[in-house]
Amino acid sequence: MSEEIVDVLIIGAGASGAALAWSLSETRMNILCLEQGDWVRSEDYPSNSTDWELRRLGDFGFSPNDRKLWCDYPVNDSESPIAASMFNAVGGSTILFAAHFPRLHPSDFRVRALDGVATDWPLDYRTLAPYYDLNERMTGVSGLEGDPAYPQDPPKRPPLPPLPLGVLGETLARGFNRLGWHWWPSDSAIISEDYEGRGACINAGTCITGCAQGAKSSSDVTYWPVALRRGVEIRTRARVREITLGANGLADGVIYYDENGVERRQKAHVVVVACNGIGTPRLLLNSKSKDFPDGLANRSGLVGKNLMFHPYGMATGIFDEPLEGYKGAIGCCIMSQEFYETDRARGFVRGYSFEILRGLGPMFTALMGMGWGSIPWGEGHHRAYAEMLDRTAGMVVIGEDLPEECNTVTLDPDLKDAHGIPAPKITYRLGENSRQLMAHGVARAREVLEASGAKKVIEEPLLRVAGWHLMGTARMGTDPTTSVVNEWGRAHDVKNLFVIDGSVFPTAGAVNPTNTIQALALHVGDTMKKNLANLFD
Amino acid sequence: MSDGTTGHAFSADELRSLAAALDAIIPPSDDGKLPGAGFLAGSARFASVVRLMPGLDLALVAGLALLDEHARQRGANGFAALDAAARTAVLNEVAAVDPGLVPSLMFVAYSTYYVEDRVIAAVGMEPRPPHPKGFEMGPNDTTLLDPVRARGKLYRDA
Repeated sequence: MSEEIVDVLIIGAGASGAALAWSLSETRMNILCLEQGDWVRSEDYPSNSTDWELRRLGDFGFSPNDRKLWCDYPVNDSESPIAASMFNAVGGSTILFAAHFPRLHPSDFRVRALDGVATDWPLDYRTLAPYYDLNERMTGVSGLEGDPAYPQDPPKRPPLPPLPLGVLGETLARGFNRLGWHWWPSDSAIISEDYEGRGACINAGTCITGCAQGAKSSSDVTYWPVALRRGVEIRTRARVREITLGANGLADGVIYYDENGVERRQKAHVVVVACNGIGTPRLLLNSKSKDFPDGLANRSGLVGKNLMFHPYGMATGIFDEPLEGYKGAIGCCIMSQEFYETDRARGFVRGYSFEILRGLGPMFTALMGMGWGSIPWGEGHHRAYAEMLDRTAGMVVIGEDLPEECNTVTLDPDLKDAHGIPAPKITYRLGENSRQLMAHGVARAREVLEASGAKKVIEEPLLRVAGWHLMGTARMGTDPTTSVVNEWGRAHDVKNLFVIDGSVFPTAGAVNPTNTIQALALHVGDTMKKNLANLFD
Repeated sequence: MSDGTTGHAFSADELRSLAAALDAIIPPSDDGKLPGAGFLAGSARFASVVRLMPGLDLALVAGLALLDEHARQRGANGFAALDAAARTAVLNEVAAVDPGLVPSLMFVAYSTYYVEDRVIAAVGMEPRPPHPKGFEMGPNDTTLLDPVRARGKLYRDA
């Protein structure tokens, strides 16, 4: 292990770190990525065993506070109705994501200009479009051209055909059609055909506990293999404690703990933070100095502020007939953007997406039935269970959160990780616009399920577990007083420091963010390459 | 005594009461195709699920003690000695003084029962790992999208 100074140090080997590493690897710069987790092997995934559903309650669960793996750090989310969800590994949270891969819309970049709330992005859809194209080719996105919810100039052309809808998907498609509402096959970061040396999806339905097949396009199987072949180094089990500042006011490297817990220093000419919307502000806030007593690159005071989730609500329909919902990618079936764009007549601004979920497996049928009061114990248990097994279809409402400075990530005064590093604390409440938006969405979801033939619908207004999308806490913008980084991710206050994960989102949109996160990382990479000669000016 | 890592080692008497309680939570099916959940008591999988929730093992032990006590009040030599109807009645009685017991038993029973191969087979699914075989799915009916295409542009320009 060399500790010579590197040209570019990337902290975090998740979605954005992988995309940037790949982008910069063509420059032959000396690039090192420090990742606190490790590689996950195909044979480690739960889908290789019949008790795969049980692993969702344990080591492959959503929340680091439940998993408590060696690579997890605790998160104090007791003051949030939404619990944080992330995964530390090469591939980051893409290891567990459902791989739903939509783009933002043009209007998502102009929220202030169009709807008078929040703020605008310092770039637009047209600027990012070629990077979406590139990311979708590198990833292997399955989808269908021609979605009327997206511009056709330039068009969105997924490189692979859409994943199968199956009985469940087509049942709900007919429900949408009866209502005259928009739906479209999901853009999915799951390959529907063999692609770039990986085998096609086998419809196992175990996506959110990882993909043993390698068909789900987590970044450990997309960008990282190519970046490594080009000479990028990943150092795993390396937890960064803080970013250090040199005498010239530039970042000069990091202090981290290696796989043996030994404290080490890594020097770098450029430091890139790719630690997600909670990990990034945590690291910056932990990186205090004389020049930055409130945390690195935080002269605006905005590091850790404007935390945005996508609030998730859910409606589950129970049907009379089997839906074969155990077949197919669990989160990638149909998306609807009927209520995506603002219509003030609804009583709120901005909007939401629907995503159809496949059915529950045998164990989760029982547990969810228990939670809903639908599957009693004792007499009647077996009959009630049989009426639910393979007869459920879910719809999640993914709502656009507005940025509010009161929603924050700070350093917990007491809680620390295994290395003694202060843990993040989330203080978050759902804004009134989000509440109304979510209520509207869940009610409309019920309509879709009933139009599809559901005999019973169970509503869940807000899913606590769904803190998957972490955004806003190091927002981008052109004004250093109202943003942390500029339009290509460079910190206003530290010229050789970059942030490239969802922290930089000024607004959240109402779609899964990973495609946008990676497109932005590619945009940052291209801009860095164009400006290498005067990067620190 | 739970050491926080391996959990409580249930005694033989506790396992008997636990098996009876699990059989009451998920009884054998009337057609005989599905077993009661009692066979899970003492299994490694059951123990692993109990370990997921710190303190659950000791809570179950306390609950089982209550079940036995209420059974003895009915003249039986412990909860396991009761018939099915009496076990249900006693569970409902104890639920009034220990409201966490039945949900705890349900959680561990439901989550371990429905990953057992013989149960999965009995409910009509293939008892095998999803990988590497996966599942076959048919082609999409693309005509379903005709009404959506006919509506035209849905997004706002910006």
